[in-house]
Amino acid sequence: MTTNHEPDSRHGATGSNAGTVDATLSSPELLDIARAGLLDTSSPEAMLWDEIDLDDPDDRRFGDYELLERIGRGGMGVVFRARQASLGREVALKFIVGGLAGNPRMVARFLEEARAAARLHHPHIVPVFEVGSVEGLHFFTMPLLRGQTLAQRIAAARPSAAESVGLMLELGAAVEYAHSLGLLHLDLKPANVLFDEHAQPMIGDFGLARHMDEHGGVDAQEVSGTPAYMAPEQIEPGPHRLDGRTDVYALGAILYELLTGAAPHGQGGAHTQMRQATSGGIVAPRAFATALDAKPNGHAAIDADLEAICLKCLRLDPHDRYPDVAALNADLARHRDGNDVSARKPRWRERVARGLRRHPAVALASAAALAALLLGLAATSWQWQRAERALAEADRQKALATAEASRMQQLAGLMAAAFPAGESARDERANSARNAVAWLKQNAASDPAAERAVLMSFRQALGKAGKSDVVAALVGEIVDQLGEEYREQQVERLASKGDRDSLVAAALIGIPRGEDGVSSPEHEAVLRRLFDRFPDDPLALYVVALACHAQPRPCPHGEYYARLVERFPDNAVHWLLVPSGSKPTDLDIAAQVMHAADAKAYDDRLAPMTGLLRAALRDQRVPDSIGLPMQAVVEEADVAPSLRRNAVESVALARYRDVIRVCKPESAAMQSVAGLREACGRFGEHGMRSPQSSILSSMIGVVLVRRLHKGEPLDAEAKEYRRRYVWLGEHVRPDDSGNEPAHADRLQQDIARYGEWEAYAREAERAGASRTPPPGWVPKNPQTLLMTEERAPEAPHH
Amino acid sequence: MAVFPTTRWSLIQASDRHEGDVAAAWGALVRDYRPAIVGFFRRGALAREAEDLAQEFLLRSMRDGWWSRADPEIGSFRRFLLVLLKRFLAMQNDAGHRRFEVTGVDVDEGSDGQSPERLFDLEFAICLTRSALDELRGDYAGNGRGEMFDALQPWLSEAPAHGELAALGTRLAVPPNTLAVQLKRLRARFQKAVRAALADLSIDAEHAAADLDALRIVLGSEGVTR
Repeated sequence: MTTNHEPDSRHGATGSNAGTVDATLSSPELLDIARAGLLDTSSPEAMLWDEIDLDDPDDRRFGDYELLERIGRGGMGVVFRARQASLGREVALKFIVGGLAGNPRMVARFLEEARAAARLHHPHIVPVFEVGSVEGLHFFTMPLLRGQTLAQRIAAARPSAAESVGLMLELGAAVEYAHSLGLLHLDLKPANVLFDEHAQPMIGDFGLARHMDEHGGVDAQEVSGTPAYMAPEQIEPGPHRLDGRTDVYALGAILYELLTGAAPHGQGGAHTQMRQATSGGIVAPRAFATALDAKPNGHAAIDADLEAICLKCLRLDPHDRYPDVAALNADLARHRDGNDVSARKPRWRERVARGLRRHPAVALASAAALAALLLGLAATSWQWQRAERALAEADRQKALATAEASRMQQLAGLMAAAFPAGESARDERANSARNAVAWLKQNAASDPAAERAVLMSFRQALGKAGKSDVVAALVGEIVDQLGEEYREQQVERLASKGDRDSLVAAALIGIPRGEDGVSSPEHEAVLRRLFDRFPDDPLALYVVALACHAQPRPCPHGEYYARLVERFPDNAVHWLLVPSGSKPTDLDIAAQVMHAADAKAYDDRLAPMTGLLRAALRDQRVPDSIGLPMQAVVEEADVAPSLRRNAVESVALARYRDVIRVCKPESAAMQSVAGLREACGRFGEHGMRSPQSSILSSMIGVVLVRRLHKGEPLDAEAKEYRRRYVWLGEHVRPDDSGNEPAHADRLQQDIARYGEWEAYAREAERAGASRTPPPGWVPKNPQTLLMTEERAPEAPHH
Repeated sequence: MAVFPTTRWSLIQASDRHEGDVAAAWGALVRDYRPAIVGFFRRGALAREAEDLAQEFLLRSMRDGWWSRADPEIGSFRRFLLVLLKRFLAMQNDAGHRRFEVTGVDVDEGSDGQSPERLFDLEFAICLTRSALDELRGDYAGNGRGEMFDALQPWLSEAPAHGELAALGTRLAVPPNTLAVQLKRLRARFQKAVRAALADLSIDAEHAAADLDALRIVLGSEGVTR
């Protein structure tokens, strides 16, 4: 900044050199001298400490009291051990000195409030015996406590959690009582908690408490406190006056120190501590304890409820704390009694464990209900028996005071036992996965950590039951049912970016899932924006119409489809994207097929949509609501990628159900609409062969072609496509993405680059197989080569 | 007719004085109280630059003639200096924020919880004490009693321990009782000297008393939390 032009002035404290005092005087010495010079040493208060000669009987006498010994000295007072002559007892006598003493208004207030404190009678409050003034000296007296302070006790040996809660309840009761009489303490801290000879904690220094006004508060300006325990509103008087919640904060700070051994505002000087307090940057006790665990004398793990109670007291904004000390005490009592506390919604498994401790019968019943629910899906007698046995086992284990972990394993084991296994049970398995996750969602809702815990046990149980292959089904269900927040978050984020690609991605991600999913207003707005802003962009219009087409509920926006086919009639797929719920007649559908058959292109745009989604979802943060449950089934590092993969994988495609029905050779429309049969054939052929077709579209084409050209050369070509599909399906297993995340990711990347067929062919090559099946190859299940009229058109898994 | 201002501070405020004289008087004052200025800067986001900031403050106050901004209502050097410091720091903080975003310089970690005003007042009190002690020593030396001053000065702020006065009496060949009386007088004179130094920096007794109260509060609560 500046250069120093006046070097001698840097240390120049004195202006003149005449009679300079000893230059070696240090600042502390000078400070003491300054005190001697500036403080009103002629006032008796300031003389007390140094000047009273306790050996002199005259000096010792002070009204009704005889001063015996100096005990302590602080800014506000000096404390003597004294004997009260009239009552023949020893007391602690505190004189008020310092900045207070010279200020009549402050003295008056001190006296008033000390008298109010003298009205406090509570077993855990150090009573004020007398407030008065003799010879112009203001003082109050209190019992002489010879035990340790809480600060000393914590330093010597930190109390256990149970002791701490008991202690906090006693202190809380005392503070609640004082508040009921209108007194705020405002300097609660371990050093102000003293133990009497019966080891009872007593809150001291109520002689300096403040009386709440008629509004139940105190202005912060004239109040000080102890930085390590002070509430933020005490440090930075802002909009909040001081009230009961200020003491709630300090009680939380004491609890914090009981739990961790350290005050909440961290290490460092008062300034640092106050900054810590006003920034709300308090390290959670458990995190603090974890950091200490490296030390050999680390305490037992801190209970999560106690931590929650503590942190609720220490919230920056008084409104976020307990409204009063009574509410804090109630929560502490709940914790002591093993009940749920208001400060924290307990995790599901803890609830089970707690229930087990208190109500074994109820906990057992809920396990039975779970078993019934799951077994109802795939009820076989052996499963019932197995469940019965498991319940009997649970019963036995309960008698052994089962820990929550083993209870979790039982529940998960029941779920796993009921889970269908094997390739043939694909649909059943999907159903079970759906129900398991739905059950989870219902019972552990809004507690992702609990969901993770249950799923983790479930997954392990599945592994033990030899059913690891269902993990992929589980992932899909988890994403579908619990991933809503993630999807909404992505839609909002992408919508706010507002460029065309982001909006397209948002339009795709926001398509509601499940049977009764509803498009969110944000998603609706995204579609509208794309429609309005990119009227000439075929992909944008395609995605808007697709979103309207693929959603489960009726879509009122016929204009999306209308514009797409009006502007871009030359893509066969466009003609299929009629709005959901528009209930076209067979004649309408026939007309669509005839238009589609005339289109030059057949492009369901899977590649560009895959690319856009992948780019839009790269490196996205995952909310806990889905991230934690996902961690149970995939590696943590793979949570975000697998969410992305799932979003990309489940990108919507055109629905062919109506077209397949109308194009059946025996359908009524086929008989009545001239040229429909020929159109269906051309449409199917086009879809089967188009390089821009997804595998699904190709397979639809195969079905159409084979139905219409049985025994013809085209039939053979269609069979060959089908063989290729089954071959690739056997050698490329994106379903097992849980095991091979890298492969699945690479596959999607290739789809975006080369289209789906080519991507699978490349992946097959990487797996050491050829791109097409060798002559004479027969799949493991030859049935899959046949056309199944029963099979839903979406059934082929690609 | 108004009383002609006679204190060191009122001289700076006087309008009829030669500009160069006022500037010199101001320069001497702010140099005397430089530790208080540094102290003020030590508590804040730019604490590590406190010395530099103080230096810049001094130079700019000289260059720009900040003394001429003194509002007569402010009434004392201490309060005026605080007003200037706060304004100056506010300006610096605006600039400083940008800077420590770039350099990663954090706010002072080693501070002990005192506000800038508080540390300013503590340092101010020390400067005042030093100045009063210098004055007093000059007086004693002028009367050939510098040695007495130096011998008794350690006990300005604390009572001599048992036997200390007797030992000193032996060394100086003065009866201990005489020494006790001398000490009492020294203390009284010192108190007067400090108050006089403070009065010299205020426009009138009322403002001096207000400053005294402010300093007392800081001194009285120094080192304790309540």
